[in-house]
Amino acid sequence: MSWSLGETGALALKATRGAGMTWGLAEEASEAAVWLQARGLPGVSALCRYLNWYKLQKSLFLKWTGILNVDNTQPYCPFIIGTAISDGAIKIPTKLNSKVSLGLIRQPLLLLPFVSKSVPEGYGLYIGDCFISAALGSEKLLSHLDYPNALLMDESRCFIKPVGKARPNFQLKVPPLRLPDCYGGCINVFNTFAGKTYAPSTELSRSTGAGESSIDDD
Amino acid sequence: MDTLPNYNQDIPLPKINLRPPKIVMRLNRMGAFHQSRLSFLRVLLRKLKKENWSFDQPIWRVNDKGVGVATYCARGPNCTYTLIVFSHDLNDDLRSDRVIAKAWDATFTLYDGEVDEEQIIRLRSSVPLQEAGRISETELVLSRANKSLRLFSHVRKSLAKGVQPDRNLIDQVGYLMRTTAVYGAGKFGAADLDCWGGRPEFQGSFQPEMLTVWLIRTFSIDLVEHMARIDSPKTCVKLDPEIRRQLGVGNATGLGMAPFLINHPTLIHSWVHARETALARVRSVKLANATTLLSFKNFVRRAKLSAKNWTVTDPHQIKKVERLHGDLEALLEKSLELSGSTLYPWNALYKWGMAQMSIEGQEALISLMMEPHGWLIDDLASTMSADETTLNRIDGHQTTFALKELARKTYDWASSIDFDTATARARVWYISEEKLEPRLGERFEEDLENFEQPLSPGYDAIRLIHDLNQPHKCTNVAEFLLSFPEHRHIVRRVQTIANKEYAEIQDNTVAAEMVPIDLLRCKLSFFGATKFDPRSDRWLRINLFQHMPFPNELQDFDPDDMVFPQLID
Repeated sequence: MSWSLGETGALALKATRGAGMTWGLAEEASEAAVWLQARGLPGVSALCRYLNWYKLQKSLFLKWTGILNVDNTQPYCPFIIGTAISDGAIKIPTKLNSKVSLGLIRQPLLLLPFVSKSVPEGYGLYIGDCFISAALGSEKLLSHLDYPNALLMDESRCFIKPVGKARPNFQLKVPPLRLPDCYGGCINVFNTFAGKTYAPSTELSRSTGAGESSIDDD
Repeated sequence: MDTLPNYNQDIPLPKINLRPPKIVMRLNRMGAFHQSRLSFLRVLLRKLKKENWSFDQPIWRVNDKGVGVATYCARGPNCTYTLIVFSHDLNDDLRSDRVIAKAWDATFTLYDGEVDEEQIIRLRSSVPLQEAGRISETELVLSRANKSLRLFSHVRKSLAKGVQPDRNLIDQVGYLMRTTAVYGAGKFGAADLDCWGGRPEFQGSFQPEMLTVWLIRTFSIDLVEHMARIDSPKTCVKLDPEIRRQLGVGNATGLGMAPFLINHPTLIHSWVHARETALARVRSVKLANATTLLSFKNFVRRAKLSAKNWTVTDPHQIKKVERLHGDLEALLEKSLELSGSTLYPWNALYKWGMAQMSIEGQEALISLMMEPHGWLIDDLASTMSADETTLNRIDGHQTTFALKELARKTYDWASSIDFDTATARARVWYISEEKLEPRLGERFEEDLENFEQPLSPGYDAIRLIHDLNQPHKCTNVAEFLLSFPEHRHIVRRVQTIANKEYAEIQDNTVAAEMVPIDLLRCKLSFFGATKFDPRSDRWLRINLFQHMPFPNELQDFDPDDMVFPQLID
């Protein structure tokens, strides 16, 4: 069994909304997950983990007020920070060797689509301050780890800074434009959250909701 | 035809403006749209004929109960597609129009390529389950259909006896089978649009779905002839080709389709813009020659015949069809006044129609005026698609003032609606937990508001403008969205549809008086549907491909000349 990215995106939208985000942010989350997945990165897993955490811990979120607290001990939401980057509320570096600290981010892989679409060629999103990095140019992934699941960090401090001297590029496998069977667990989680957007039926809805007759007179 | 200008160089530039969206994008008018040369099933058949596609039926393993498997291949210059049919024995009491039914007379999938036994075995375990099964990246479309009991058994019995069926009954029903869902574009595991959207044969919208339905039509004929042969092999006859062409494919459509028009504003703009551009081009023709005028008059006569066979039971639609009969009669009379020396004849006719005809008649006139002008408008079909796979990125640098002005301009039609009244917000669009289908509820009678889908852009825009009007310190959109994240989806929409004047339905989609089938009819007219038959304010039946050629006839007929019944001398 496998899932198309189209249906996965539609389900992710409902799931994110079901988890309590606004429709506008849910659209961004769904697109981010599919964007990553289409590039061979585990975006659906990241969103799945994030929604599970968000359900229980959202009250602990550090609220984004327009000024980054980069020494935060409670994490930021990757979609709040991601959209702040893509909207331009967080300025991205334009000068050579400049660096932006984004603070502690939950499921930081989910930031990558927003950063990738916003930074100029030569800059990268660094997830953590060690070797785990995802280098990119405007919309292009120049290289990333050979083991993309290693990017599924629960939370990490993130930076946007120039990509250092070209690291040895790992050959990207052509990512499958599908979600393979092993994602069944994530789909189940999405379905559970999506279910929160569905209305239980009532007597009135049964009689008028769809308006169709169950009697076939054709 | 007019004296044909060179197709690429001499198309007259429109001298006449497109109709304004405040006229076109109203639900009562959208609910009166008719099929046209730009409808997707016509675009498909034109293309298949031009590219000389061939068709065959490699497998027919259907038993004497009508149960089994059949395949239909469509072979083009680059690709082959196979409709795989699983034909079932369905109890009459299980047959239903509802999208939520669990068993059908036949289930289908459109396979990308030629199919082998292994694939048939794989698909036999999933396609008959429809939504409960899973298809894969090698399948493009999933569908199912039920027999029309009114007609199928009559045709079967007639053919078995060696006589042709009653043409009146054929006219009245118009199809042997009726689809209740046609899913494509990645649904239930099917191939994503990205995988096949770039293929030349699928340029435009809904082309794999149209191909599927067209091949289903052939299966419906093959099945009834097969059953007649089983009943009486010695006396049975085949359907007369003319009667056969009177049979299209039925379709029952409900609220599941309605949100599409609101959720795909860029695509809807491309469809309506193409249609309105076609109208403007035709109205801009300076002179029409005698052949074109005669062709048009014949199309009007044939449309009259078609309207006579348009039988409905809905009281509101009965009035609309009755008025259409009068409109077409008057149109025919008026068109006799046109001559080769009439300056801007189509514009004159259009203006007369807008003053004299009902909205149903006006929209029929517009489609009819396009009929003899293929050389002038058919190229617009290639513009009727939009890449909506990625979100339009929000321009956070836009000033809040500019956003407010843009929202006011785009949604000025909504500013006159008093959303504080109960009737203006009477309805709620939601997804039913029981059936996972879109439904329409009563906001003030049911506890549904927490489940509301964002399908009321007019109201959302008015709320956005209200908040932009409140004192705030935000200078640009990025800052505004930090304070008002709940507006993110409508801000994106406002920015996305700027300069797409036909993107938005300019009516309140949650008003008490809103009629959902107007949304359905608009979309179905772009598919090429005819014989709209409302069964309530929320669902309707239609006919697709009626009168059109079958695959084995495509090279012998001009499909664009076959939408309406032929005139009998």
